[in-house]
Amino acid sequence: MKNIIVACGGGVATSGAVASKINTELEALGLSHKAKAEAVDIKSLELFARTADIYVSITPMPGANHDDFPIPVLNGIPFLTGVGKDEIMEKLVKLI
Amino acid sequence: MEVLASFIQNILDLGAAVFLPFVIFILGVAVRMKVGKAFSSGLTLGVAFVGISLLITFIMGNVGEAAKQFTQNTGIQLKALDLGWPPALGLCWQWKYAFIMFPVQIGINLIMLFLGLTSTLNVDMWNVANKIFNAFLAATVTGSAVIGFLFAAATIVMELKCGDYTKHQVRELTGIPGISLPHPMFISNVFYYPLSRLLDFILPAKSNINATNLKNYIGVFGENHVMGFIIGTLIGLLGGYGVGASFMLGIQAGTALTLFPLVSKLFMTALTPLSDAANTFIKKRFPGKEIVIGLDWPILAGNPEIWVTIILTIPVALGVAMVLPGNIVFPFGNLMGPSIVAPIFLATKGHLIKMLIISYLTVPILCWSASDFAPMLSQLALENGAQLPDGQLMAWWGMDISEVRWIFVNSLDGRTPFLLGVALFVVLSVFYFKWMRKEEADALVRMAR
Repeated sequence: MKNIIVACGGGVATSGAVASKINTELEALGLSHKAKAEAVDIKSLELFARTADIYVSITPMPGANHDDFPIPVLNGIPFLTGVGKDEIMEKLVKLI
Repeated sequence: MEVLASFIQNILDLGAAVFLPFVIFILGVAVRMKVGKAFSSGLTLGVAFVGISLLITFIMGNVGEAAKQFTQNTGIQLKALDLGWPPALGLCWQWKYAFIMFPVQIGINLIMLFLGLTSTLNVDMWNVANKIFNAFLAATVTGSAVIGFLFAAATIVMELKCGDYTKHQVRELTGIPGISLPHPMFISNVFYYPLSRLLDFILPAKSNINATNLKNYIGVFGENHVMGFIIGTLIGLLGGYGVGASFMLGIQAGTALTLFPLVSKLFMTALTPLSDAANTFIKKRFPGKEIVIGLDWPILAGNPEIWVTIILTIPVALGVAMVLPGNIVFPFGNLMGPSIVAPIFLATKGHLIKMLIISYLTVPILCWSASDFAPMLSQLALENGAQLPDGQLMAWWGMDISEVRWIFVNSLDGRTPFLLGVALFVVLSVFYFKWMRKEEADALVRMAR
């Protein structure tokens, strides 16, 4: 079971919505037994990253790189805007 | 008919935790969810209500009690404990007309899109709660739900306009194309932006500091359980508890602040199918039109300036709360809240020194507005079955658009001096949109380079 985390300011609203969207997509693909997304508080991100496998980021910063982050990082903005969602889902499925 | 009416009345009398699951279930089936899933969603909302009451009772029973001791020991009258946004925005769903806010927000948004008055399609359904809270406040002080909805409607129009007028700046700051931030919190920039411009005259041109390093040092204080522990222990010591008992109180406070967002997540889980249905509904009506997608604030949350400013505001907030005349609120649960600092970040483009100064300047207003609204919020909690210690109130310190809510709701309450604030807001709004037009053009030029 892969653990996917999504983080926002309180670990509630935006990250919760994205996590629920990812879970719905996983269910549609028949992958819900292989991975599950969870919303977490960005203030404790490092704590949660220790037990997670994939980090879906919805707090992008231009020029920032995630090379030194302990787990793979994916851009989760497409789940919010709907633009490019299929591509990012493909990338996610490959990591699972 | 009479049987039906008495049946509905009976369900309403059972309290929000019972009747709102019914509402969610029926709405869920109406938007074609599977019956089992709609049932589960509805129950989740009931669980959220009971969970939030449980936490309010827990935290008011220990930290609230210690805060009361502190009041008795020192004579400093802080009888309202700030529990942050999770209980406030959660509890406001039990306002009688709460669910009508969905069609109101979507309706206003669609009409404005059709008329070309906005380019933002707001898909952030979570913050419908913030508009419900506005309507609840205005309706409570005036006794008129219509006035409540008018205040909420004005907020919806204003937040869309504020989203429209900052979208290029947001793109420059986040790198995300095609979005805007129609969150009510950014309406505060009508005040913060002129302040930021004013500070340009006072501060030397090159006076910024890098927030990333600073955040690495102090970031740990921002974690909910750490902050809860520190403030809880502090309240225990000030309340005259022993060191051991104070540490225990600290752990309990850390527990509450860690659990509040987890319970709030249940509100989100319960409402997600509805908001998804609402979004599908509105997106279907706008295929191919030139629109930007309106999102919630956290796309800014990766910026360390926001968290550094919040953490460095905490000691000032606590100090001011102790001595400010007219304040009855002990800031606690929302000390790490972004509602004020996120708009300041946008207004100053992340200039840390300016952010700190403006954040400090807002503190008295955060205290007074939270003090004024504490009785209404406490009433809502009591109606939901939470228990507060005798004479203690719960509050929401540092709420979104504190100053806007404060001047408008108090004006509606017939406190005439606040009309001056309303007048100032109207005048500054005119200038604000003028300034934003220029800022947007500048941002486009910078991005084209």
